[in-house]
Amino acid sequence: MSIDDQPRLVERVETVVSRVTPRQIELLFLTLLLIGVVYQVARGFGYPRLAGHFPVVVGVPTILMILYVFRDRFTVSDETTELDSEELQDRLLLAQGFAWVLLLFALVVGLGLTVGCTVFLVLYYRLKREFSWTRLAIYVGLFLVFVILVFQLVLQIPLYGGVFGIPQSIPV
Amino acid sequence: MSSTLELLASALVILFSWPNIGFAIAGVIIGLVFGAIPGLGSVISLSLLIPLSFGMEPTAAMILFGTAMGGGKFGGSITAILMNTPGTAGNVVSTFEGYPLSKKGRSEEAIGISATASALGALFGLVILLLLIPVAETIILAFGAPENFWIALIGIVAVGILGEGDIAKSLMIGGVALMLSFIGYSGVAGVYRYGVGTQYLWDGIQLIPVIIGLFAITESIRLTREASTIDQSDTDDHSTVWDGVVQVFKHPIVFFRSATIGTLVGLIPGLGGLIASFISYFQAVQSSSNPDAFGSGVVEGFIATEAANDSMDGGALLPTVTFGIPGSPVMAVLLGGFLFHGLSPGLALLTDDLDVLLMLVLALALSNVVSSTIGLLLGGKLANITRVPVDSIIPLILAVSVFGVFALRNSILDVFVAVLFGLVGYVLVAFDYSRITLVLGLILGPLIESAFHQSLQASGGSYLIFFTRPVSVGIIIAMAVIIGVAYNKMGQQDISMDQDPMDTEEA
Amino acid sequence: MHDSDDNNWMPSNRRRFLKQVGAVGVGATLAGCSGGGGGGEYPQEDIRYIIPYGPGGSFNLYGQALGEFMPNHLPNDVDVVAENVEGAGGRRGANEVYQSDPDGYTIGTWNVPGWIVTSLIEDTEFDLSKVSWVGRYREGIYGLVTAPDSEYSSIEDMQQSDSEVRFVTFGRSATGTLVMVVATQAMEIDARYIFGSNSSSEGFRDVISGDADAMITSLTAIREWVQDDRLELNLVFDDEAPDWASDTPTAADLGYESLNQAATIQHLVGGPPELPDDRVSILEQALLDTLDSDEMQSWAEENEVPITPGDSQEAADTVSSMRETFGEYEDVFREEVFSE
Repeated sequence: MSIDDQPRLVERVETVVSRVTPRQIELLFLTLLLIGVVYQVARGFGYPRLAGHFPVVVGVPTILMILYVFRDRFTVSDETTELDSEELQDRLLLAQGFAWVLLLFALVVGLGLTVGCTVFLVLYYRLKREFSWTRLAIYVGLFLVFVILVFQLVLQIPLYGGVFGIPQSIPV
Repeated sequence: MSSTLELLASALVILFSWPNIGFAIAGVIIGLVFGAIPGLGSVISLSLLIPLSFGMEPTAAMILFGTAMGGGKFGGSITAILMNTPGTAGNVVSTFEGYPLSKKGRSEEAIGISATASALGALFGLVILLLLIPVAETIILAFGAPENFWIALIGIVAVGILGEGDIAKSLMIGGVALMLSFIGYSGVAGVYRYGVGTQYLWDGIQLIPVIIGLFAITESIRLTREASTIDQSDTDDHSTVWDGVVQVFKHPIVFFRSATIGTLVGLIPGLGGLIASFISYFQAVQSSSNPDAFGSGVVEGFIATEAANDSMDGGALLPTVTFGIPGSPVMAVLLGGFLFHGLSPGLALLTDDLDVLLMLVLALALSNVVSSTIGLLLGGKLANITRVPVDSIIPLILAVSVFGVFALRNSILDVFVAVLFGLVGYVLVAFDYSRITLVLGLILGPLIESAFHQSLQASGGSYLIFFTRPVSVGIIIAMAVIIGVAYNKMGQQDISMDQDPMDTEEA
Repeated sequence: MHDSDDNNWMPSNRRRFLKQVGAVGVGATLAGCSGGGGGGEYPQEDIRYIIPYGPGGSFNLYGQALGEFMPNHLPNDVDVVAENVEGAGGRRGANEVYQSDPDGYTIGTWNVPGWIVTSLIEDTEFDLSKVSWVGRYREGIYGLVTAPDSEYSSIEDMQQSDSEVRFVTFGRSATGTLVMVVATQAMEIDARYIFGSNSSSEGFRDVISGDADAMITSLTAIREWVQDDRLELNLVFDDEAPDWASDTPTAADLGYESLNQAATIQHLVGGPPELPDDRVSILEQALLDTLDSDEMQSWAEENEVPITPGDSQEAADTVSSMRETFGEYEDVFREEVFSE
């Protein structure tokens, strides 16, 4: 099974990925920053005892800088040319990279630290790298030995169990 | 002084006896491993070792702690060089030149440079420490809140100047970083700011999750898009670790200047390895005849970061042992180690318990030498990692990073922060915003604000306190000179210092 | 939340549990049948001891020692596992204990009057009056220090001064700050407060360099500095001066006895509300036995830290009398520390 087995999903992703321009992303990013800093400055006015002092003194110039950069980037014209297939592939790979990271987080939150990471590794090595089961077992096995040793036994961290509270530790 | 030498000599003998040497070796290995794992580092290894050292003799415990610290530094360098993933905060700047060297197939050489510059840098810092002990108290007493304010301000100004050609973007991110640093409970004002109704943000945005996110996770995303192996050179003729060793000796001036900067930065509480290596790197760029090359694997730049990062420990020990004021986060934990074994910083440590202190110093020195030696011997093998297909490494980096970040405070929210910054980090890199500026702002924000408020409280509201103290004035003048020189140079040469070498590759 | 407990299938738990199942019939008196508890002896599993601070402080020091020595004084073969749960200034750890099941398997260190300050100023998730107090392991005494060459060589000097006496202290919600405010107010010293020191050491630095005039903090922090002649101890908030500075005036000497009660820091051990009395008793006895034991005593000597045992009643009484005293000063405190 590989990613390409789901054509409709891929099509949709391709459309989104090819339509979104870098400029839009950057502007979105700047907008979010702007909202955040404005919020901080506004709240800052309400804090007692000079607690709002620095946030305001630093925040106002920061807002100006954000606006400056925003305008600077806004006026750069964007060429809405069609992406050639190479660029499209490139972007898809990038989107994939983001997706893998988010997947890892989702797995850890859902299944817990050890189990989640193990599932992640299995999915990654099988789907993306098409490892043989043997090779997979070796990599994942070494990983498990390492984290159990360092984090469970040596550091004795209570390993996060995810939202369902799945036990993570291996009774040793 | 001769009695100090005698004590040193006897400490040396004790160190090399059993079981102490066993502790030393264990310490180095633990340190190396923890240093290499993203998110861990000496803070965690020491926190772990302290309770484990329950019941040990203080000297033995110091050996364990010292060697773990030395190993930690080097461990972090290795992953920075080979995988562009700093193991600890102090190694972030190591990636600037270390990783590009790896890409050129010179990873073994880079390891050699790191091993040598680190060991020598650490020794340098420790020697300075020993020399400064007699005047330690005077130095520490001279630095009060107003002085700390100016020093932190220099840091921020330096950050602004280093605007990678695009000063606006750099200032902007610096400002955003400072705003982020204001999140959390401020002791000096007694206000919990920007908590948005949760308790999680009480201690603010934690540095390590941000660094892991920005540098380890972002890096993993970037590698998804990249070439098949880290080492992209075509030749089979790779330079060796010994070439690296030689390089350090070929650039003595860079080395000594960097080690000095590192030690000095270490003296000032609160700054730490990242700032030490950053300022040192900046200096190397400024004084180079070919600044544009930086970011592509320039040896001088790399020597600068490695030397400063390790010499910092020597400096940081000074306020820690004389006043109990930790010179860096690692020192704060080490301080806990002192107290755990009934050693109090202060005169006693410098007189009655001097033998214990010297043991620590020796252990630090030894561990640096030992871990560097290990690095030199294993360098070839380790460098093979750069020739493994990248795809095989990415998921491991991600998974181990997640564990590492979680281990900090047993908090899944920290992992969330790391992931968030991992995604944001990619955006930053893609659009040419400096990640290092973000990190620096996070570190310096609390320092500068708290120093400012404390100064004003001390003076009863008068701003004159910032301008009427001799040491403050000295710092202001030094600052003006440095800025003036830097600005001048930039104007002349149209420098655009490549802070993030990876930036040049992004569309 | 019980996440961490559920996920730690420590094998020792299971073996011990199986052993206990067999031994359930024996020694039933300890189990107690009042209210909760159910059948079986207590304790049957390892007990979590929560330290609400990170490694490298005195709380951690004691917590680790208790974790090490207490198992020897508890019935049955169980461990006491010290766990650092840091964050939010200790609140995270405190909540961890307060919200855990009242089964006697989670207890921890409580820092009083630290929490009293916090509860005065803002809402906390826990109510100190409901904590099941097990006992106390340490009572810290506060002292006031100045630089040896300071213009103020006594409290009287400060009281008579024309200018403000600059007191450096920790954060605004810190215990030391609370003590400082109450003390300076009670003694009618015209003080200016400088908040924001991260540690006693930093504060001492300010005092010695002249950036501040005085500091009030724990004697444990002060001791070495006074013995090294880097600081001068001008006042002790206790009935007697310590033997290493025996000619220091005490608050009692100056007529401020009531301050002694307020100006201490208590390290208490407590569990969540509604812990069954029988289990509290077992824990209390174990704590007292541990503190009294040779190994703990020699540990304390080696580390040069004091042990001031107290039983669960003493702990509870201390907490309520402190709440009363600080309640009296609440308005002053708010005004001096938390107004604009």
